[in-house]
Amino acid sequence: MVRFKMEGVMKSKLVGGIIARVQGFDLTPEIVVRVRLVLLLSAILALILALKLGDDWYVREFANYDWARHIGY
Amino acid sequence: MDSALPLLLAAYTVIIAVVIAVIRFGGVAFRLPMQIGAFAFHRLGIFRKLPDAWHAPIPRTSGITCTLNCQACELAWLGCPIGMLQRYVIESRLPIYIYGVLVAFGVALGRAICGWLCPFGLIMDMLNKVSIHKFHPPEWMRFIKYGYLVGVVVLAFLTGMIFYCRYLCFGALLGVIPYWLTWQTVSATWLVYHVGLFSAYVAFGYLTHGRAWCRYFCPLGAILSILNPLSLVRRNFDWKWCTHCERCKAVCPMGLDPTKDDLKSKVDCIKCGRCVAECKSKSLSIGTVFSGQPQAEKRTIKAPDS
Repeated sequence: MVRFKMEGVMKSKLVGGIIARVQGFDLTPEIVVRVRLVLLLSAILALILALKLGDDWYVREFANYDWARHIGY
Repeated sequence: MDSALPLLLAAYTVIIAVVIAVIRFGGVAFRLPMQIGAFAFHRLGIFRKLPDAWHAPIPRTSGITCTLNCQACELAWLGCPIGMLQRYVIESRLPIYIYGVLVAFGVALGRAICGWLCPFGLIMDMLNKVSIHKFHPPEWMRFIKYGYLVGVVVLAFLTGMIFYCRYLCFGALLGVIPYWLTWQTVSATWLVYHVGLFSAYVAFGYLTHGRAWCRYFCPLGAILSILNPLSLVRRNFDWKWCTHCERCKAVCPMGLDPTKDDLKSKVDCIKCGRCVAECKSKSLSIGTVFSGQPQAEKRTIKAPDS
């Protein structure tokens, strides 16, 4: 019983610690700029990859009304 | 697809640039025209169904949009990222295209998409005008939208169907109902179910806040919320001029305190500018990271001595 209680306390301390660290994380402008740049570049790369190296699957999928008819259309 | 790639990239870039330019140089006064324009743009498919004189061969899709946009309706011509995400999951495909669109728009505009571009957002704003604001749901309900987002993926994977669109989405407003009104090919069961679901969301919004859908339930809003702190569009606050009247807090459709820079404000602010219009001391403004305090010259009162 005591062991369970201790485990509970330790777990809540751990969770509390993680929450405090997330809340206290200082998102400096430099970090924001870098993360923004990385994400933007990755997004452009993803678009190029998806449309150039991929296929036109999404167009065919969307152009097809069959899946919509499945929901009663 | 090779020919579509530069066209699509150019279109996305132009849309982002136009929205940022309008926010930066036009300001909050341009939000409603922008919303109406975006609404009409998403419904261009209507030209496919008009008589010969007005008919235009609008393609079924030319890409995926960055807003919630029921693609099941024949009036739509752009894909909904949430609808297509489920299709990618069902087909066991990597949603690279969805990632590209949402991250590009999310990092550039953040939740300004909800406030300035989303067709549903325009309707939510109209609902907000008649909402009685009688009940105030607990703050933890903001996390429901993240649950919906996880549910979109998990339920599509488990059931092998577009479960979210089918059973949970507010999309009936722009999908099932217009479809039924124009072509009447929706089965009675689905029509009743979706009208009931839509009515439940509207009733909830009417009793609480017009933007209740955006605040608590929208899975696309959840994705954009995560990217919102990185957005190029931001809300500026100059505390030196603030008179602490709290009018901004009272009118915020997302239930935020615009004078605070806490995590809740960072992730949930849709940059609609309601607080800016309400602020008499002009200490609030909507701008971009490229602009400082664009409304500084418009101030009508002196700053308090400090």
